Amino acid sequence: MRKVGVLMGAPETTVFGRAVAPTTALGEVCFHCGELCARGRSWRLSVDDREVSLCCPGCLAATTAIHDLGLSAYYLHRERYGPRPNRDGLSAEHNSVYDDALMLARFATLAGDISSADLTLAGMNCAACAWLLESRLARCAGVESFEVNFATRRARVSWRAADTGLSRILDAVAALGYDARPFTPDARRAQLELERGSLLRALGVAALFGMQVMMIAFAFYTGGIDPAMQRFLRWTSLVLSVPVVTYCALPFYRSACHALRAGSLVMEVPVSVAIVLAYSGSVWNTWFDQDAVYYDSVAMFVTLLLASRFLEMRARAAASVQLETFAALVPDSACRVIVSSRGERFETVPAMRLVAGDQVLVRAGERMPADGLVVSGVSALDEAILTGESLPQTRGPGARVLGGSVNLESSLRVVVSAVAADSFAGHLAQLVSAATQTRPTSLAFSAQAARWFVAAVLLVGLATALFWSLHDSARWFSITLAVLVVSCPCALAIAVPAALAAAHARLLGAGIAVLDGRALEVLAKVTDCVFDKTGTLTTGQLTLRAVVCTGDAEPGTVLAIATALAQTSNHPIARALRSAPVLDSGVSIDDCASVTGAGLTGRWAGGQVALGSAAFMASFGVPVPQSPLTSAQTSGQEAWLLHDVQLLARFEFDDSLREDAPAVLQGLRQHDYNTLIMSGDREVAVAHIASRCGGISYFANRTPADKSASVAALQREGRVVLMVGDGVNDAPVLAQADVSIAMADSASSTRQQASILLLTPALAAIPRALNMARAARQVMRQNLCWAVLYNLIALPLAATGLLAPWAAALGMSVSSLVVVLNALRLLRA
Amino acid sequence: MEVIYLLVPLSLLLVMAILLGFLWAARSGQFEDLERRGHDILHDDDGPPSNDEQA
Repeated sequence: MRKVGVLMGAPETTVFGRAVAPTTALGEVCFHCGELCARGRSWRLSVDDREVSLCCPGCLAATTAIHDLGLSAYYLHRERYGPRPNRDGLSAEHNSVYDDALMLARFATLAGDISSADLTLAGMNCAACAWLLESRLARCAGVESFEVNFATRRARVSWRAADTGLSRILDAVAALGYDARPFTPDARRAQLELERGSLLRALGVAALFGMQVMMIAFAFYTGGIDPAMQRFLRWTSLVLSVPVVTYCALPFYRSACHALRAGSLVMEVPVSVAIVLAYSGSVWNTWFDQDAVYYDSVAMFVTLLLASRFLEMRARAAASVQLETFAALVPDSACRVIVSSRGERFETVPAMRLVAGDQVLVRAGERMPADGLVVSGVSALDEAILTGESLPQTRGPGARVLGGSVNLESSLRVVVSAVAADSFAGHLAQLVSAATQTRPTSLAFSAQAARWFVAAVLLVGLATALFWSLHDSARWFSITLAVLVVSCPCALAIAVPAALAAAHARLLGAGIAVLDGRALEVLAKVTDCVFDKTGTLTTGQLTLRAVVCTGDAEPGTVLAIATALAQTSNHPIARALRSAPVLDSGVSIDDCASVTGAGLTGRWAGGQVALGSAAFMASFGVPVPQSPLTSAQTSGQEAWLLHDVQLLARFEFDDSLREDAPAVLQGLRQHDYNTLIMSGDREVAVAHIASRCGGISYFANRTPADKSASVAALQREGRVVLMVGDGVNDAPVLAQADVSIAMADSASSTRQQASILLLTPALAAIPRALNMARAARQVMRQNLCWAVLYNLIALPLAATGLLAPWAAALGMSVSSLVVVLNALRLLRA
Repeated sequence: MEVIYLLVPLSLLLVMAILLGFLWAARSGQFEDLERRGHDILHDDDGPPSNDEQA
């Protein structure tokens, strides 16, 4: 399906407040979702005296519902097209599992007779969608409140359990084309949002009081104030600074204490020391009515530091929106078969209620709810996300199936063999937590800088205090204080978060979401880039590579027949054929049928046509000529087309390499990164991709445990490893690697492990992130150099007592400003 | 200049009021979705909450 204008700005031209669907050269565009209507297969609807075309029954239903509810204003105000309904075939029956008490207990809270839950929403493209959903749900009986947060793509819903159920609410949302699922918040994201909230409050308070202190300090700068007034203003500053040095600076004290207890030095240690010393020194001087108070310096220091941290945090919180997808590996619902004396019965149950020994029915297009053994039925299963195997696997009675794999062809009866921790997915989760513990912790750049800085400043401060107490005991305190304030690690402390904030914001704009605050610092040190194959270097989808005509039909006709046959099947080969460009569309096939696990048949031009494997051809009595390569040697998969007794053509399919993969891998190699492919797929398939990428080295047939062991081995050699992956089988190795990147359409458990998430499916983002990491490190280094240089000049002046207190404060501010401005350069990198 | 002794405490009161306002706004989630509410003005009204859903 070609997408037109889905991600573009204004979807339709608005004529006097009325939306008009554009007609492109390719045909009509769906009024609701903006996708191209198949020729001759659009639905017409009259909206406000005007005919509009819709591409599918789902869009038709959504548009009708929106119109009938009197919410057509949505179409006037939306900035982007709406989502296409029913993308994953979720039916109302599945939603009913969310009314199950055990299921509800997982994510809903009950207060009185009102239940509430958080939902994640997919398909929300613009603010008008939020309005549409709120307006729609406000009209649902039993819904107490439904509040959409557009920024986080979430909704908070409360309902009276007596009047409605969660399933009805989800159905109402689904009818509009959105996909809502209850969720338990991702721990990492919940943490980020908690921190963001407390940082915001701290920053607001610091800025508010800091401004007052600065205002008063300005009076001191100008001078000429009578002593009584000066005393009064100092005491006022003292009081005004109290919230800043207590409440606002509390996070710094906390992490400083935490680090000291763990026996390490972090940037928060000198920061805390500076705040406490400068403030208590100022209080001392105020009490004894001496010169030199630094309330303004302290307040500004704390405010600047919080601001740079807040900006850095905000960029990461925005990125973390991408963490929550509903693509949980195992579906929430399952169809359980209950065999009794009166025959069989089917019931939809929450997957979490399944126990070993249960028999479940898994229809075509559904995901396996648990690990199990096939009882009856034959079908092809897509296990790519679990094992990295790029081609679908045919499974018949007695075969083992994995929870999370997708049933592509026909219904299967499966006896559940393992649930939860015993299942394949459960083992992967254990591997992940094991890998997280063995991941090497490379010291962050800023922490290294903090080490020697603290030592140096404390030494100089001590020496100054000693020297002056011997020579001029009246001045030792104010001079030592000036030394400590002037060396205040403001520039040093801001150097890193400011650079990171700018780099994160820039990367997010380029579709690269940095989730881990230390990811960029580690990324700059990477020596080895390890790539998964299926879904990472390749798109994970079969594409038609070649058509070889073996009969007397034209390639165009052959392709048209095959495409027409493939219309109804969900097999990857059929999907590949459907997406191939058709030149001759005047072919119609009657009596299309699919033979499970083998191929497709139909009638064309008075004869039988069949599409399928070589074995399927043989079953028609037509042997397939031996190709020079046996099937174990070809990297892809092939299919044959038969017309009566004549073989018309051979189609070759391939897991298509991403367009930019060879260029990206070659580029990485040229920049002296050691580049590897590590895949769970068969040797031939991996070798083929490796050679097309310019002959880079590879490992094939790797289990998830093998992968993370290989990376751990590299790390023991002192290499710093970047892992790029997408499947569930990559989660452990992503957790093991020093820094990891998950592809745009990754499984959710993979996203949880990744330090960086790509938002667009382009591999070119990887060198971009690496370059940005290096640029950010460069800026951090410049900033640190500047901070040191400034200290080298200012410290001797302060230590010799030549520097006036106001000059010390001013110098500190200017040096911080230089650091921030330098970091801003990254926004244009 | 003695008026300072009155004005500074007054400004402190003002700061306290602003502080309370800010803390309320932060706590009640006013800063959580800065993009969306700006669009609400475009929708004239939500209409009368109708009773068309009893299903």
